[in-house]
Amino acid sequence: MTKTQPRTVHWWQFMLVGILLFMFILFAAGLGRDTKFIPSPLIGKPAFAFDIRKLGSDERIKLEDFKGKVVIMNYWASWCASCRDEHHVLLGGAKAYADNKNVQFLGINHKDTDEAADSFLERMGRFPYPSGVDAQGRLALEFGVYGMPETFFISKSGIVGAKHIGPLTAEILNAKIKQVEAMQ
Amino acid sequence: MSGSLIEIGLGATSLALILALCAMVCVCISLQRTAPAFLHTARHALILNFVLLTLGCFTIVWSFVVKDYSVLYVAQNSNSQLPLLYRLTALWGAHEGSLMLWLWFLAAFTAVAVLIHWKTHPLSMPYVMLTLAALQIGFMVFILFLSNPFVEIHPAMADGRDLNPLLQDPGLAFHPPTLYMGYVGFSIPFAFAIAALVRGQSGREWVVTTRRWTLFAWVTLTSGILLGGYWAYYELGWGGYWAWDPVENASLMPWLTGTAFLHSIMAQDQRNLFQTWNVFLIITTFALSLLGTFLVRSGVLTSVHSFAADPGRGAYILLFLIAVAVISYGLLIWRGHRLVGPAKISHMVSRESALLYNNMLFVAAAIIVLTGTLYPLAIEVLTGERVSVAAPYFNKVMAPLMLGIVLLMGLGPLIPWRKSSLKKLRDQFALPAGLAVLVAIVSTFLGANDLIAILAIGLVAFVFLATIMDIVRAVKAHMKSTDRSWSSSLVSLASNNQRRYGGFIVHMGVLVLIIGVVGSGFFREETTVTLKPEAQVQAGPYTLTFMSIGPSRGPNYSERLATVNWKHENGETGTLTPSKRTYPVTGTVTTEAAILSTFLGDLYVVLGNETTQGSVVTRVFWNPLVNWIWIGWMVVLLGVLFAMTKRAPKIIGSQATPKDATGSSEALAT
Repeated sequence: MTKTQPRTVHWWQFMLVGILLFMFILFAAGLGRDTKFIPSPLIGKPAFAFDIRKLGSDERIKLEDFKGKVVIMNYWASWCASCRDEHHVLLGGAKAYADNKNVQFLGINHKDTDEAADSFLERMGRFPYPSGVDAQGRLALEFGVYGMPETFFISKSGIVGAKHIGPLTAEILNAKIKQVEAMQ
Repeated sequence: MSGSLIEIGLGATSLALILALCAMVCVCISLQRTAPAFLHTARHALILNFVLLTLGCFTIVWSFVVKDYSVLYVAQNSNSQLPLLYRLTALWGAHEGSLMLWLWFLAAFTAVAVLIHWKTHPLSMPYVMLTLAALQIGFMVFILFLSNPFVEIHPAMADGRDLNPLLQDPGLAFHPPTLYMGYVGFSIPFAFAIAALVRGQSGREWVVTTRRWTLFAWVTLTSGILLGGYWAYYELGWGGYWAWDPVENASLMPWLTGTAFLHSIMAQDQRNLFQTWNVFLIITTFALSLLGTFLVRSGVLTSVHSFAADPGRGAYILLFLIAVAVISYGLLIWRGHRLVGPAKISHMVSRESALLYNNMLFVAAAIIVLTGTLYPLAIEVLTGERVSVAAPYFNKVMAPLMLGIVLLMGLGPLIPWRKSSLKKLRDQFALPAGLAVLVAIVSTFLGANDLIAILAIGLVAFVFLATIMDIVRAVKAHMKSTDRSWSSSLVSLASNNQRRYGGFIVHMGVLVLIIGVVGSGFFREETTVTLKPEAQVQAGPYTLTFMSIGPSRGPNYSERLATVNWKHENGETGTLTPSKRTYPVTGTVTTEAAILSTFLGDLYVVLGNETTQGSVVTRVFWNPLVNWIWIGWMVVLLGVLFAMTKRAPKIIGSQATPKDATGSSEALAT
């Protein structure tokens, strides 16, 4: 039984190598793609006309308040670790667009308490723009929020033009604002 | 201060990595210089690793218990409101902890394997240890450098985010660890197979030795999959238990090849056949287990299960997977020919050929599931489009294969090794086959109108009858030769053939399970209606009358509770109260299905949205025989436990001599 058999290459060996190579290439290619891209049925549709309480006060924030402006609506929460990563991007972005009256940033504080949110902002730096409160996640349902953080770009005419899932980078932020600014 | 506790965990895990590296080096030195002292050192290192990793896991669990939100993983996956049970199980609530648990199982199994097989397998042991140490290193590097659950944050968070609400259920709390245990369980047979390959050892030693490991891994994997289905059915409220989701498929693939392996090792044990094939199967099973982890954890596939998608980690797992596959399949291609023995399948009607067909069907099923799971990925990579392969594809293609497997389940165990004749087959199977046809015909009169369902019913009857008749024949023969009563004959037969009778019990359990699947799959009734008070709806043998809906309160939730009265055809009556709950702390809304569970089927009522005052969209299911799935599972568990009572015969070192089968029907289950 141990006598050496002639070393012939069998068909199954070729097949096995072929299948494995194919799968490795497939997975490697699959890793490169943008898994965060989830086609949203909301893109191109009018944004839900919300009316929510302003964080840390009793005032209301309505979508119609921002008519004629591009609205960057950013979902955040004090408990969300990735929100820390994008915090400086938002601060920088809001500063860069501070003079542009056609662009309005808006935070939406998601499933959080006013106290926790406030101490988060105290620590990380306060947004130079208001945040609305979505403590129950009702508004998140309307916008189909998939994970935290998530950012929606609403055009001047109130159409959802783009969205981004996950932490923003300055490049993404600028590119999407440009894209939605160009929309009619 | 518990901040330092988590640092102890990190230290212990880091030390474990160093020890695993030491173990590998020591094994290599011992092989080079035949210095057994080094092998002893490696052994101690691997056993110590189990202790260290237990400590590592403990520090994480303890941080959950004491609500230490300076540990990032704890802060992200628990909350001060979370009950103790879920704080304990939150260890595997997300990516980092899940892999830590994976590693812990691996370390535990490694330690046990090194302890119990040390004396009996001195020649394989170095390679077994090398393989397992390498696997440990692969996981530890990942955990320590890319997916570290010991990370601290300063300042600590005041309170944690919550555990994923889906995981806050006792049914689901234990689904992931059971599944992982199954995945990791295959690592021991895998390591022994690698040892057999390296040594060019062609006997039956490694399959016999690892038989109980294989059974253990198989039954935990089976249970893990079924636990997931059970939870989906009772908690998710969509009335089903299996959706062919990519992640479900990822757990099914190693199960299919593992089941093939479980059967084919019998041929190696009894007839010294399929040596290379068995090595291929166990490598594939283990690789598919890793692939399952890769698919779930890398976010390559879009799935409801992919909670934490991270391409960087995905790249590492992919590299690890490639390394495991290249080394193990490479060894198989390079040295596989040395395993091939002279034995051949001598006759097409024999146990071994039945096992061959069984293997072909299981592997074909695995290929189908793999193709269906990866097809969307391939299409997206090639064309950029997004497609999904849904249940109809899988159901259509898998059903005929499963029917073939059921048929073999009846034939295989009853056909003797080496050779049978067609005439013998006729004598053996004519009566059960005839009765089965009768059952199938009767079923068409009782409402079965789908070909697959009718065939399934007939085949289940056939397998059941054939198996029972075979047992009866054996008992009668035994009674004749020993003059005992039938009950003591049965006990004596079963207790001397644990593998065969354990296998029979498992097969019976599978039949029960299939009855449940066929019943709930083909005969289910589903209606979605908007119900006003006093409105009636029919489901199976039940008439439902919607009474009212109103607010109600629980300890930590408020709910809209509906009252629905039911009346069975036979006059029995009762009330169901499905509800929709809102948990204010997390703002989560859950639907609580109301289920009237009986032996014959489940009446399953789920609330949808309330439309106008007092009326509500309601989904009503009649799921016949669905409980049989869980009953079948219990029977399978019982059978495997019985089969595991058979100890592996002692084979010392490489002196394993292939014992040719003498009895015709000695071993059914491995």
